[in-house]
Amino acid sequence: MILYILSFILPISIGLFFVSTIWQCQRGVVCHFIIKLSLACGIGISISTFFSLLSLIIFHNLLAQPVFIYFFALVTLIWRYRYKNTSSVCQETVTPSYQSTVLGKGLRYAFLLAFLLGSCVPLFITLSYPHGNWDAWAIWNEHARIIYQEDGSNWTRIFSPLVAHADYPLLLPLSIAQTWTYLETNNQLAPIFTALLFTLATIGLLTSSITQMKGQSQGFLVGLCLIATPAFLYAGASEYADIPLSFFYLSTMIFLTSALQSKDNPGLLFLAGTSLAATIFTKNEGYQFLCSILLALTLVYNVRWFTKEGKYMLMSLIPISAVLLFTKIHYAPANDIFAGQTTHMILSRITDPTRYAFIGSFFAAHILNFGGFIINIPIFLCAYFLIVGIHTEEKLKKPILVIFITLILVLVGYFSIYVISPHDLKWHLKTSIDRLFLQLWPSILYLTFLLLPSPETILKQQAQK
Amino acid sequence: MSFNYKTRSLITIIFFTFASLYSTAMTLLTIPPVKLSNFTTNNVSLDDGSFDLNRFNGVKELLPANAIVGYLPLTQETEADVLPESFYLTQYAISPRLLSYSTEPEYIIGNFTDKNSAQKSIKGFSVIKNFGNGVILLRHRL
Repeated sequence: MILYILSFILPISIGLFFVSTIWQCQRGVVCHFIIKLSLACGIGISISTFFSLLSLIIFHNLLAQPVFIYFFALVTLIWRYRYKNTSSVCQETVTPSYQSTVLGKGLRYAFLLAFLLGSCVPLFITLSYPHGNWDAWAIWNEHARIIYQEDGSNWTRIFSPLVAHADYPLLLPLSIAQTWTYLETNNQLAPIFTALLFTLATIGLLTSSITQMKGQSQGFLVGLCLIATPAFLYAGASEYADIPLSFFYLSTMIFLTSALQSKDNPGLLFLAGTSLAATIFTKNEGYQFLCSILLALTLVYNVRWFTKEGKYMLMSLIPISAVLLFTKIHYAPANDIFAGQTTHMILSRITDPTRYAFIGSFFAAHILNFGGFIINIPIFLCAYFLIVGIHTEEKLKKPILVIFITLILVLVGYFSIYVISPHDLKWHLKTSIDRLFLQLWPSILYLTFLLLPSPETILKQQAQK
Repeated sequence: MSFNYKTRSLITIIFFTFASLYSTAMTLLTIPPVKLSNFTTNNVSLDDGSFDLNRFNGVKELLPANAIVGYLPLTQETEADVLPESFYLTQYAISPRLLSYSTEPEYIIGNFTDKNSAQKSIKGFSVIKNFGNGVILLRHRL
């Protein structure tokens, strides 16, 4: 058990080094450390796994990964030296006097209690289901076993048509296989730790990022909301790739929101590009997210933005995406959605209005019943909006618009995939729609609580009247 | 008592906090009972039982790591042409060997739950080894 914990310290350390070096805050604040630590968990795993992929492609061996890590550390230090005079955005939003009030303390203790209780849910489920759910042992852990056992020499066997969903990206299986390679055993603890790490990191990231933007109380509120989502906690134990994907969606939006508040944030944009690349490394839905966010940035900031500030985002996005696309095109078979489909088949589905009606009704039903909440949180949040209204700073309006457009485009993209799907539509929707919404849920909460006034703001408004 | 902006907002926040705590607590209390035995044995936990991966240890010793093997029984495919759960679990158990949902490969793994279906399915094949736990390694008759 201790060895497994230690094996995760390397990627987290890489992530912390990378994030802290690129994103420098003018003063150290606790919430900033928690943001960076949460980011380090996911970004670190994605970076170290990307280097595992490179070591497989070039050296056909997972043990060559440290070579790339040393080179990467050097490049990061050069970046730090090159852009050392550029300060990054770090806001101070904590209102010390408010934190000592009953409400401030109450929210803090409520969040801590919920975090304690909520963490136990995926942990206890894992004890009963150590191999996860269907997709975990049929796809993700299965892929990890094939890569690990092949020891890199014949790793392309994972793309055999006999392997279920051989077209799926490799972040999760490769990170598990890399851990097994270092520990020379394929104990089930590796996928379990990976799943729990991403679950807790997503909670930490969402809570601390909203704390940074809107204050501690708002951060605790959004954290409570995420922890109170039963589907999220259950998914945390499933060992699927949906929670890691939701983490990278969220981290991309956090980096962009922070970077777009003002000019001259090359580090944050570079990190945004890295996080964005991680989405396509995690699941195929990441490609939709990538296209959606690039389109949203184009609509809000226009194409020229990519040649000015946006070039820093492209600096990290393009090289990583190029390697991932090369792997997808050169090695991976066609995706099951598109394999065997002709243009005529796709067009006939696109022009069938009954499909739109069926999918639309499924979407509506599952949005209203999403999450398995004891008390319907989405409806509650709508009521909360009506009661407290919207309050956001001027400099956040454009970034919020980017997030909003991205989420809408992603949902439209998901809808479109169902329209052209060759599978039985009811089966396809029933087995996947909840997980698609779950991928977006932390980002939706991030957007929601950016728009809502914080308890501090509500009290200040009353005091000023 | 007047419900001005501050009052109704604070009531909403307090209600939301308690609702979230209640939801989290109920989620924890309603999870299935913990079965620690599934964690200590090499079983894949399923909603209606478990699948013992150790049943295939013997057949793994006889097949090379890069083998492609067939599978029996070939039952009618389930909803949306998804292959049976037992097929995917067998693939998981014998990794990195690859499993083909057919009897075309030279070697075939039989994963049976009862003797009668086993007897019917293995006709036309040679039994290399019967492991006595429903797992049989077969080969095409020469």
